[in-house]
Amino acid sequence: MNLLLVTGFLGAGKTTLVLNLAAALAERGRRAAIVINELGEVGVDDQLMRRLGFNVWELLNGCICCTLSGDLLNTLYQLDTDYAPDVVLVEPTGAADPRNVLDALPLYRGRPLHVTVITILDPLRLPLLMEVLTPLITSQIQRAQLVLIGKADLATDVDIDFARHTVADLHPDIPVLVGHAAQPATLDTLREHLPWLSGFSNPTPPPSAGM
Amino acid sequence: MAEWILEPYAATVRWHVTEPGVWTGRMSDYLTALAGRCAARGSCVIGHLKALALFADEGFLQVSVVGVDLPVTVQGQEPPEGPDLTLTLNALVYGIPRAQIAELAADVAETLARRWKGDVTIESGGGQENPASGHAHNDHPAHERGNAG
Repeated sequence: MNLLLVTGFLGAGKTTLVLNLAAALAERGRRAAIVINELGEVGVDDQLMRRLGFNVWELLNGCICCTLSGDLLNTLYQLDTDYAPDVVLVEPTGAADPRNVLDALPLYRGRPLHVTVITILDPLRLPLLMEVLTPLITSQIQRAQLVLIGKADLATDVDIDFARHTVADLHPDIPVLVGHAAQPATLDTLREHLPWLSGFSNPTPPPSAGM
Repeated sequence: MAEWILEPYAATVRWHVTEPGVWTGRMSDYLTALAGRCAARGSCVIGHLKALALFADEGFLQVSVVGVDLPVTVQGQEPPEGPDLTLTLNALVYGIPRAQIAELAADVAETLARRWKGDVTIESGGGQENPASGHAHNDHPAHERGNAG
């Protein structure tokens, strides 16, 4: 089962990316499942996703990387059993350290997982966040297999350069893409760096496909 | 700055106003003003302030702010005309305890309600406290330990 873990700080653009990818996969007749972990007593993103017509599995009442890793594994197993998705898009809260999520995934006892980590950076706030939340942001960058610098349409060249240099310092040679706030990346641009997505690039709608 | 706490705060906010106006702009004003009040308090990092209003016709309006002087993000459409709007607020701010965010959120909402010639009621946490939300990030050093001095 393909699992795409979309990390990044709060407000970086994770939900936008997840929604765009889920829609693109659905257009190609693929089953995409969304698992979201949002901090707070009331989930806003899951309500939004459901209103947009997506099936969402929500992990609420805690943090996916602290107390809910077991819930994540149970959720993955259940949705694979019931739904057999082609891709599971997992969006942890932006306060989550992906290291802890990744440490938990080997405990999964269902179909083998093919895990890819994408980290989205907000270039407008990265200098501040690197100053005050260094361990969290560093881990999010270092665990990534692909980094997206979003909000390029809102950022200056200096902002983008800072983000690029930060990534280069922390995770040399990792692919970096730059995208806009409304579309951090497309399925096609991701496919250039994540070859396993190539299998999902052509519209091949099976009879029962959907979200 | 040695440590950051992160205590999520959520609330249901119900506006009833008589002054004509556009709710999209009002939601933006609310979150922008709340971000400003948080920042003015000092020693905090605004993670995400989000507000979502769902409409009976399946429409929605989501507004979010991630910092002072940063663009407001708006998704969805202007709600049907009318004096009432109910929204879900989710505030994730490092460095400000939940109770203080609740006070700021209520104070800003009441100030704007007066400006718009109406009133507002706020129900914190959807009616119940959930200690787990804050607990997770009080015990997790990777989330809260900065090194900026």
